[in-house]
Amino acid sequence: MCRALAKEYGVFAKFLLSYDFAFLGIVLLGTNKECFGFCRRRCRFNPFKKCNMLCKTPDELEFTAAASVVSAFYKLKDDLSDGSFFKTLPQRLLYPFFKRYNKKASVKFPPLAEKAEAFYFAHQSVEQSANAGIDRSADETAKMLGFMFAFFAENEKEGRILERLGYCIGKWVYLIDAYDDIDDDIKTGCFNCFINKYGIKSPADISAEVRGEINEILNMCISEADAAFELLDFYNFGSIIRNIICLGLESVREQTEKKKLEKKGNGKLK
Amino acid sequence: MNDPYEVLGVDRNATDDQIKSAYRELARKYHPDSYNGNPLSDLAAEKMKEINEAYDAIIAQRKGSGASGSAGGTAYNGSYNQNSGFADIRAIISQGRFEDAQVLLDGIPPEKRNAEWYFLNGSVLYRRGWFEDAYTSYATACRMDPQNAEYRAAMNQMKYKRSGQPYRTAGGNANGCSACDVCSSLVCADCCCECMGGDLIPCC
Repeated sequence: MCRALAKEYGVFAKFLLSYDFAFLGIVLLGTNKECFGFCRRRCRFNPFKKCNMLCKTPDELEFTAAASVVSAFYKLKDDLSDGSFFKTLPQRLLYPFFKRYNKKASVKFPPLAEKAEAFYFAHQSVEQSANAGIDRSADETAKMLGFMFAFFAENEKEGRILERLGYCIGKWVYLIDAYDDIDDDIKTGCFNCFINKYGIKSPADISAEVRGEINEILNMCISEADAAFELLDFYNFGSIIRNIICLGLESVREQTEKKKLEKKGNGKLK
Repeated sequence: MNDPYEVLGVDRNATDDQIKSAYRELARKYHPDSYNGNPLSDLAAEKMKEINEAYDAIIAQRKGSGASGSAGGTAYNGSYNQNSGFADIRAIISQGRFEDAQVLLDGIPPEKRNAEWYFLNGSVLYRRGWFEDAYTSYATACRMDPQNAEYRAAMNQMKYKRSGQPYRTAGGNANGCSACDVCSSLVCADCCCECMGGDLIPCC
């Protein structure tokens, strides 16, 4: 995926590589019947060691690279609309590059670009409505991921399963980010669905009960993602996708919670 | 039909007990109760049917009979309560038209929203992926009519999923594991780690 980013969008686009989109790439490749060939090549950021990589760049990874740059572009646009001129100066400098990436991705995958633009406006309207609940807040991100997961579906059945899987994962990703950002969002006053729901005014309001309820909400997303996963026969990477859903997501949640509890231990939370 | 041994994920030389155990495990996983109300429940039922047929076929083969028996008899009856005050909305939900059902439900004035309305509202929200609002709606339905088994079952199922038990207890490998799958998964994991500066398999 790193190479797909560099090939299509230039070497700096490699910095957009993330675990989220690597996971999307694995899921998309997982439903492809081909058994991919791997080869050993050097990476320019780690030139002394040969790495294993896919010999060719399949369409799925080109799509994942496009999804990464399009998402980064709209994230940047969102940041620019939120902050003051000086605070967002670095983003303003990056904007022309990201705009070019987005244009290139739009030519290659027009439905992705259309969907991403609609998502951006819908997402903004949700964040501007003061009383959006948890489900309403996460719905747009979840739908976007559902669309991406089902992009290469071969038939209606596969499409439904992948869309549900993507929806649940997308929802989980949105909610874990919101959980992680609670402390910052209290300070900055930015929109956060958990702050809205539980009326959190200071980090001290994140009680054990609130944390327990948030965990239940996150568990529900994983349980549903797992139920969808079980219905599809993945041709490749089935076991690794399963592990990420059942163990990886749980581990991220534990780390997020640990971070919050450590802060509490350091006196930042009372 | 696909190879019944492949469907159950067992070797052709597996013992009867191993086959039975694999069958039980898959039947538990895809049982209609696990997908009750899920928008993919029809696909789970299809999978369940395939598993039942595969099991019956293996048993028939091993007994030396070519004919396959009836498939487990676990056909899921998804029909709804006959005494419903919202029969039309229930019919729309069962057709998978969740957004239409939501529009109709939203059109019912608040004073006419009884326990069944909250249950149906929860069912539609759950199918749309709005799990938190669905949970609240199911809870209201149970509070308004605590004796209703249908509402309680939906609520209990959601509580179970929120506890994280379904994915924590599932374990095992869902898709079997070919040699290619093992190698490609390991190499892929190694690639991911190396891209992020780590290393899963130091020798490559």
